Amino acid sequence: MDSSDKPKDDGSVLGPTLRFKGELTAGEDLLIEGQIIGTIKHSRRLTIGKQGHVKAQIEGHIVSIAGTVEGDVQAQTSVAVMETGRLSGDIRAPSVSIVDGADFSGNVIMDTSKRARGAGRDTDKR
Amino acid sequence: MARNIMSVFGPNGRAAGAESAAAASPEAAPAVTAPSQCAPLALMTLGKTLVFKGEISADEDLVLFGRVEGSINHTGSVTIALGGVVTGNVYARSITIRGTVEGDVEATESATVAPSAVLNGDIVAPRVSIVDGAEFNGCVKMPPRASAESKKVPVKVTAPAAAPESKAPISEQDAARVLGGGDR
Repeated sequence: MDSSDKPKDDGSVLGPTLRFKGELTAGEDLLIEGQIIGTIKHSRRLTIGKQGHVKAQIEGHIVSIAGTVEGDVQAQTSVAVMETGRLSGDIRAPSVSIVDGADFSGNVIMDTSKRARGAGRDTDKR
Repeated sequence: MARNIMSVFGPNGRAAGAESAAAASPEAAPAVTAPSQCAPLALMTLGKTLVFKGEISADEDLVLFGRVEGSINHTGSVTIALGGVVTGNVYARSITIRGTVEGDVEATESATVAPSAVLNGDIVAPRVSIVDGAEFNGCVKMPPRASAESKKVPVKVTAPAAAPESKAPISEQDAARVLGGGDR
């Protein structure tokens, strides 16, 4: 459990029994081990833990995925898909890393200049 | 504030620990515990920047510093900490309110409204405490406690009831009943 997940010294942990449906916004480091359906808007480091299961549109600053995500992920700084991560959806971030072993299907859009590029391709706002 | 709590629960952040500890002493631990007193239990802290719009359910003990707009369906203990705001109904085994709740509160075991709390809504719980200083507008309903302990009653009843019948040879059904009751 204490392998790679840094945010728990400073932030909140949504435990494995937590299920949430709706819109979640947060401004502190967050580790999600539970199940979330809906949208996540986040201004700091967001980690989807190994047990985490997220069916959501994610907007964050730094997003790392070690669990399962179905939905598009947009980050202002970076997105990392860890070895145990499974992501089906698009990634939009200036910096993207996908570790060998990760399960990813979707597009990667790197907005190296400005982050609002590629909006015509996708239906969601921003 | 949230960070202090985090450091407390960091070392034992395991859900299984919380559940087994809670199961071991379900009644000995009244839900009146302050977050600082919860240190031996693993619990989940939702920091003050978190805003949930929608429905939350969970089994792990929960301390909420943030904001929830929607309902909370919980099987353990829920604490709305000072600064925490819930707009919606809260269902849990035991509920402690130190923050603000706009909505109904329903606990299967106990509900506590601390002095710092603001509660606009009804309380349904077999045990309710409202501490002097709390702001509370609503009504209190106390269902009979038997419903909360109904699971244990049959165990006590079946075991002695089977004993007098045991003069006659024990039928399989009786044995099953006793054993089945004993298993619980």
